[in-house]
Amino acid sequence: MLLPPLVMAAIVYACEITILSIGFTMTYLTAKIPNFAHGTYAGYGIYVNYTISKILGLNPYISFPVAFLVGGSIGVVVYMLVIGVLTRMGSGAIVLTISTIAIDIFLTALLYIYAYWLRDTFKTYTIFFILKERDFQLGGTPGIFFVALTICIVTVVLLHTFLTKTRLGVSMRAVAEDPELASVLGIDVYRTQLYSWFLTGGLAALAGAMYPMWFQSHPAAGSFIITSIMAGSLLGGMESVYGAIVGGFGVGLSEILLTNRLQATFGIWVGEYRPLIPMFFLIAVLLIQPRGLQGAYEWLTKSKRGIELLSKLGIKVE
Amino acid sequence: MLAVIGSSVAAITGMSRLIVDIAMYFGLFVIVAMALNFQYGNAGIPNFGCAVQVIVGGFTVSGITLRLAYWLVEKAGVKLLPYQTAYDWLYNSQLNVVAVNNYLKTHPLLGISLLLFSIATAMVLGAIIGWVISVPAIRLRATYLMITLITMADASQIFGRNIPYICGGTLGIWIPNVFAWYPGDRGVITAVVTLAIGLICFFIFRTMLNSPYGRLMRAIRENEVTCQSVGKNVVGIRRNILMFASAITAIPGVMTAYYYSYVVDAMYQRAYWTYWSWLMLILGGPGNNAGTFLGCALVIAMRRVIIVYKWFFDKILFFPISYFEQILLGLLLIVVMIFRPDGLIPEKLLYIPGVNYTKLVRERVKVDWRTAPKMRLAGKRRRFPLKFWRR
Amino acid sequence: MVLFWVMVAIWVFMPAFIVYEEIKERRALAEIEKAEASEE
Repeated sequence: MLLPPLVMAAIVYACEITILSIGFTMTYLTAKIPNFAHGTYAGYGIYVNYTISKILGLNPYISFPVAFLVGGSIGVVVYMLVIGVLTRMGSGAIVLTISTIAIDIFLTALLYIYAYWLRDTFKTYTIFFILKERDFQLGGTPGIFFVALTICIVTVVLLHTFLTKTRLGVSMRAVAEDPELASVLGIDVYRTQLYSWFLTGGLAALAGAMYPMWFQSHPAAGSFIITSIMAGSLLGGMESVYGAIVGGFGVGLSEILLTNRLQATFGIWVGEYRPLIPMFFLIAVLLIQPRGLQGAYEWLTKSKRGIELLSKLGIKVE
Repeated sequence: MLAVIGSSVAAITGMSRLIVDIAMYFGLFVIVAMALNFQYGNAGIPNFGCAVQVIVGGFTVSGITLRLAYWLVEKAGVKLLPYQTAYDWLYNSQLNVVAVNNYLKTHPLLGISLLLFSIATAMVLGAIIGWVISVPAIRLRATYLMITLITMADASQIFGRNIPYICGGTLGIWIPNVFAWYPGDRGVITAVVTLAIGLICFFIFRTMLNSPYGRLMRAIRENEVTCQSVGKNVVGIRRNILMFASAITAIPGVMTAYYYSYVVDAMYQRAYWTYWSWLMLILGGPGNNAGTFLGCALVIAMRRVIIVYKWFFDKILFFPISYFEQILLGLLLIVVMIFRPDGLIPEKLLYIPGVNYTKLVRERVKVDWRTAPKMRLAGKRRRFPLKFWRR
Repeated sequence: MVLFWVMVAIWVFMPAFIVYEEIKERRALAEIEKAEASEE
């Protein structure tokens, strides 16, 4: 064992939340709406993993690229059929957000029906399950710990390269900044949006595929962690993908470690209130600094009082 | 035991039972949907926290009224089992409620005053919740507010589930029958009271919307900055609207508790109270009471019929019918938003006798939308979206 | 049983009243529009 199991669980969970938060923030940047269906894509990742590893009996890690493709295609379909149409009709942010909630309900129900169909056809448990035993061991440590960390870091590095170096990534950022101006410059806005929805959907399902390797999963697991995802993105400031990395990792880590800490202090009953921790983050961020860590950083480095505070602490800003 | 608590629930059976059920749910949801219409359709506040206010209504009955009923009945000399600790509160709930029901049978006045007390308390608590919501609502962007309110609904449910003193935790708690003095069916009289409250609420909302205040609300919805520039206190008006509508939304929570004689947190899921009421509003057409009623009637009739004939569907389907219902909810919402953005009954111009409103507001300007700048970037919500297939 | 019919009555009255008022207002609005058109 490399680390205590609890810390490892927290890191795996934090990796998943980080990847999901990145996708959520990207959707918010390109479409200007919080996508409530983002967690549900992760639910689809969970069931791709389940189908491939339990029903087909293959290695669970084969399911990761498949989950990426499935999630990406769901994202594309959602954009083509609903969000794109509504945006072209000129609907406001509120209507678009309601439509993502409707998509969330629809997709979750569809996933439940798929799970019941699997149960009826293959006569196994499909509603509540955990795939820990299908994992490989590396020196007594479950493989998912290394895989999750690697995937998280690789995703961040690749995404950074993609967004800064490639033509498509740069045009994606341009569309996020100002769609009208981007279209003037000859960027096909619709196609760029499709690519970005493919990317976010795929990343979400990839994170979802990692979920049942350590945690208990059910069809609604994806839509339950949407609060953590939103808390992570908001903590990062909802303005850049890099903020979401920090925010997602922080929320994911603190959700498990803080619950455990509080349980040790106050007693076991605190565990019931675990969903309140991301909610607490969410509301605290919204009330104190609606722009999250990014806003706090800018306040510290730009405003007069922030610089004073920093100089008192002995930190110099140019 | 159940028969005693339920006090002749099954007096009405068959088709009439279904009618009573539909009427009850229509009454409950029409109040929520009308309050939503008041907030979103007329004042433009996207309140996604209906479930919070409804749950407050339910918790008022289980946490406050129930204790008050026990206390009053004990004062009157009826021997009750202990109910102070969490264990006794849950374990003796049924027997205590039976004793209270027997007492209420001969004291109709106490029952009615308990009902009125719980409604009044729920309204006060709902207004407080509305005030709490309005603090971030004024500062935050609309989408952030939606996130906050949805999480608040979940949080209140978590509190209800884990603190047995509120509504008995996961087991739920029994509620005395305040209509015990009525010899007939309890469901019918609850439905009548709920519908009557709905009717009163409708007239209140109608009067408010036709008054100068209602026109001010619509003006704020259309253009906030202009209203501020003519000296209206937009923040204060928004807060008042939220508080008033929240107080009204708490009433269905109270009536649900009395209809089932039982409160458990799972009865007040956000999927149930928030999403279905929003579907009704969007289906019928925001900004229009007639549309709200139509949407409510359609959705409720469909849902109750599906639920009542569940056994039939369960035979032919391999999954529980509730998931099919959710698919229907999601699909309906999306289809209505794409094909009927204004709902089944679009909002009409305001009619005020003696005032030629059309002439005042409608300037016949021809706009070529192909050259005009995108309205989405102009900042404000467009009332009459372009049909995408006409381009 | 009496209350059952009271319930049905309320239940029918609400939408009926709304429909009545809706039709009345729409008719009045249409009349205004017609008067305006004839003025022009």
